[in-house]
Amino acid sequence: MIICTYDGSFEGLLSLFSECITKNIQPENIIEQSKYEPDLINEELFIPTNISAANSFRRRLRNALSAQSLKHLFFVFLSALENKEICMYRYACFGLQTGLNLNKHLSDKRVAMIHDVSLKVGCEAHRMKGLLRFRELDDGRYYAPVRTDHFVLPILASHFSKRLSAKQWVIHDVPRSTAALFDRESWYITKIEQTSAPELSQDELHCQSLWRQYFSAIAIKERINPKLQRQFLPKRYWDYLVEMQDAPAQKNNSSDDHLSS
Amino acid sequence: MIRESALKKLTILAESAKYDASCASSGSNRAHSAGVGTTQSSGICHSWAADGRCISLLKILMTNVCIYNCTYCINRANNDVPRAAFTPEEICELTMNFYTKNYIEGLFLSSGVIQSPDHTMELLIKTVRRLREIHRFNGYIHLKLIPGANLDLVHTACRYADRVSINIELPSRESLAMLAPQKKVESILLPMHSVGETLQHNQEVKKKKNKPKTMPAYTPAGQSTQLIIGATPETDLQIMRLSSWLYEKMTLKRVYYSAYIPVNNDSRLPVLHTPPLLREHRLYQADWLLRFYGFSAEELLDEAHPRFDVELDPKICWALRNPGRFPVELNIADYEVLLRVPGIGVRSAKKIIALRKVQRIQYNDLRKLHIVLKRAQYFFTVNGKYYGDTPLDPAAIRNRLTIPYPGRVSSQLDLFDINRDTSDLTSAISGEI
Repeated sequence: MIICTYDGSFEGLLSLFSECITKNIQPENIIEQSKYEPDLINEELFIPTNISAANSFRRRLRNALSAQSLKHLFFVFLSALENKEICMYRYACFGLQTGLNLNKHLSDKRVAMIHDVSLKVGCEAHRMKGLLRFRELDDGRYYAPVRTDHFVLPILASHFSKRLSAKQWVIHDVPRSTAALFDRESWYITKIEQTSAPELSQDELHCQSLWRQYFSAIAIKERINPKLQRQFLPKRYWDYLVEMQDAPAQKNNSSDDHLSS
Repeated sequence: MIRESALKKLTILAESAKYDASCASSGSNRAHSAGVGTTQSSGICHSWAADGRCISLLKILMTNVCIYNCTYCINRANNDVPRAAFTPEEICELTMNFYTKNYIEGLFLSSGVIQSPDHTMELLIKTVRRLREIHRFNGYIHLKLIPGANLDLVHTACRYADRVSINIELPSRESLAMLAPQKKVESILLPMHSVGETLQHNQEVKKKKNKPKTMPAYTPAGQSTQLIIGATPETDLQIMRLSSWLYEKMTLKRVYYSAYIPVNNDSRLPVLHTPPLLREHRLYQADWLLRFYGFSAEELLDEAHPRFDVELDPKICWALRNPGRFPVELNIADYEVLLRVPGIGVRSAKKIIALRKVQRIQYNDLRKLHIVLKRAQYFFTVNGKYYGDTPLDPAAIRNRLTIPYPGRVSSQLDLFDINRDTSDLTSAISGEI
């Protein structure tokens, strides 16, 4: 049986889909090449990224399925779902049969799966647009560490490239050792290894203490409801939330508890 | 950067502002500009305070000094509380700092009335104008209109704000006269009406063929107001009538309900041990039914039943009073009819309609659509078959839903936990606002 592999990029995956459909290859599974482990039963078929094939397949999906379906595919690609590639492939193939009606087949497993996962990724991205916290570094750059279930970094980078277009910023996906870097014009994603916490600017800790103060002042004590708070703000997101961390014991801007992972 | 004194001021002026329930940062369509910030039509929540309410905007007062002596208000003139005031520049700096750190979606600026309504309104305008023009802030601004301020000032304020609001606070003329004798009802409704008219006029201009290419911004996210619940004797029916009037005639985007919390001792105020949170929750549920589900106030309540049920939500209560309308057949019912089935919301109804276009619905499909059947099961048929665990009899259904099964934890407590922010979050994510 054939296991198709690709280089791990979205374009690579689209190239792979295009190749499989054109050559009528029926992959048993689709795996990123670096994660593939050879075995006795299966045969690996690596499909190299072909940008023009990827682009024309992307256009085909947009026209035959819908822009919404393409967005679903991209969101699922960012997800931590195991076997996401083969799920995406089955959804795309089914879509080429149904055409524009694809997303109405809500009781079909192939569609329901993609919708559920896409919704999860979309929700996490939306949530992180609110929960991400930038810290001002002493070199003037803005730095935000994040820890997310899914790889929502590209969605965040796109959002903040418009919102904070006058700043140089870094969004650091700590567990994935990956960062989005923005230089006031465009952003790109790269692997980074961080060994020490970045130095904060003079004003950063003061700004954080103002925010913590505001955060505690705005709660109405007659309505205190920690269960409700955690329902909206699950504890797994607290690590880098300024308002959920105690203020550093002394003003020492070379150490920052929030950055250690 | 603002220093230590700012910490104290911020505490005083945030604590004075916290009783305003408005939290939305949604509904604006501010064009992208070279300045700092963007707005997102779905709104974004940035944190949740210890009371479980979402924090989206930096909600503060310009000053908590006030010439009025409204009985229910913590900042009333006669109260001996610490007073403070921000300068426009201090507010701008604070907003810009918080915004660029992504603590907030924008600014919510209100104020006690200092010197006169006009003076206060001018101060607020000066601040947001500075924020827009000097700091080039392009994020969300919610600005309070000051009752009694000159209408020209009101319209100027609308040019800089994404949303404006003027709080009615007490849901009847009599209550206002009793608890806020210095405020006149007209001083609240007149600016609201004038802003509403301008918004409607702008809408009509936009529809015209020879519409101008660009139109100056005018409070693109519309206006809202707040009603205090439980400080005065109005019934839920009176409050719902007022809300639907505000939505229809004043074209408001949102009415907020704020459970009354006693902050002052006054013989004209009721003594409450806990804020009426469940009642507030029921009003928000009903408010959603008015705005998104096509219900009218008179359908939800009437003179014989002027208050919402403690045990069950307003939608299922309506259904139980109208059993003749059910069950509906999921394979043929119109969208509007589906929306009236308890337990089926906007998203579920849309999913049913979508699936119906490609196949006939079977009962098993409902679980795949993640439709919650707990309440819905009594009110529909699928291909003619009824699936409820008791016949469609209002008394039996009520029993089923309110008497806890053995081994099932009562959901009574949960009612207090779900407040408006649940629906806010859901709608924010799905863009239903």
